[in-house]
Amino acid sequence: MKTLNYVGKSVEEIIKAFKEDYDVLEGEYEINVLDKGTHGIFGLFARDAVVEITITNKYYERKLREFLEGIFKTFNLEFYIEVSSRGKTFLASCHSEDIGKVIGKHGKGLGALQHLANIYLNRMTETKVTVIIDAGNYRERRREQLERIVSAAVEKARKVGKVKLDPMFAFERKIVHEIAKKYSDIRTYSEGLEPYRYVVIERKGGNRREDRKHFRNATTGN
Amino acid sequence: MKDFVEYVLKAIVKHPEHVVVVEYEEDGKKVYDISVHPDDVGQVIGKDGRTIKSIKILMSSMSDDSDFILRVLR
Repeated sequence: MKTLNYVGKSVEEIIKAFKEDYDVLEGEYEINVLDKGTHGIFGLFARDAVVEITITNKYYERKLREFLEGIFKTFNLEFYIEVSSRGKTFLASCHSEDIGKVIGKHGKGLGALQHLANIYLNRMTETKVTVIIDAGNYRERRREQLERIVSAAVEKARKVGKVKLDPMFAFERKIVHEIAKKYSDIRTYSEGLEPYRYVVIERKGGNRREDRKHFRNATTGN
Repeated sequence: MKDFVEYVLKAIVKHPEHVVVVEYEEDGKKVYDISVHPDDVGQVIGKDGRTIKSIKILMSSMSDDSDFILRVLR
């Protein structure tokens, strides 16, 4: 995820310095020795060692877990958090008896937690990473719910031409667009301003002139 | 609650050592005055106030009480 270049007297010294700079654990970094360096003879011909150190996802997974654990502790809840990652996406699953409190109305609390976790992790990494927070399989259930909403809206759009859904979070709209892709006679795009932006589900080949305009929107917005 | 605000702020700012949160009552309402390093003010508030709102949302769900004020001092 993050690659650092260190120059020092020896490889051992470099690793020691690196560990002082970052609180990494064993197995959370990879070392690539570019130049071992040499002490030379009586200081002559001495050459510094050069080491490339890469901090791996393991480190960021732990950091994210610790950050969330700190928050759950202030909630005074019993909890269990699992973090996994694939490329630049980190998924944190939170389990707790009283998880509804954290999820909040319409997943508002979950959205808030996800937003803060994104800032936290992105402060540490060089590249943009995405954090997804799930609690008690809320996301999975929400996806199933969205699938039902979309299929009902598609049915309706086939009859009346166009259906506007309720406002949703950006990541939920993304899921909706994704789900709607499997209906080849339907196109989707988003309208309105945050936080009231919503998805429009539309039958293809309706009002022709409007269609073209909407089609452009569909390729840019989500 | 104050601990929570401090914890989250320290985790998302560039200068955690400058984070100060003061809790007091004003006209019967809880107020949290937040002061951070000038470079971090934007980060703490976030685009359209999204970050500070996120903190508020979590605080309200934690305490079942949304009758408080978060104030970022400049």
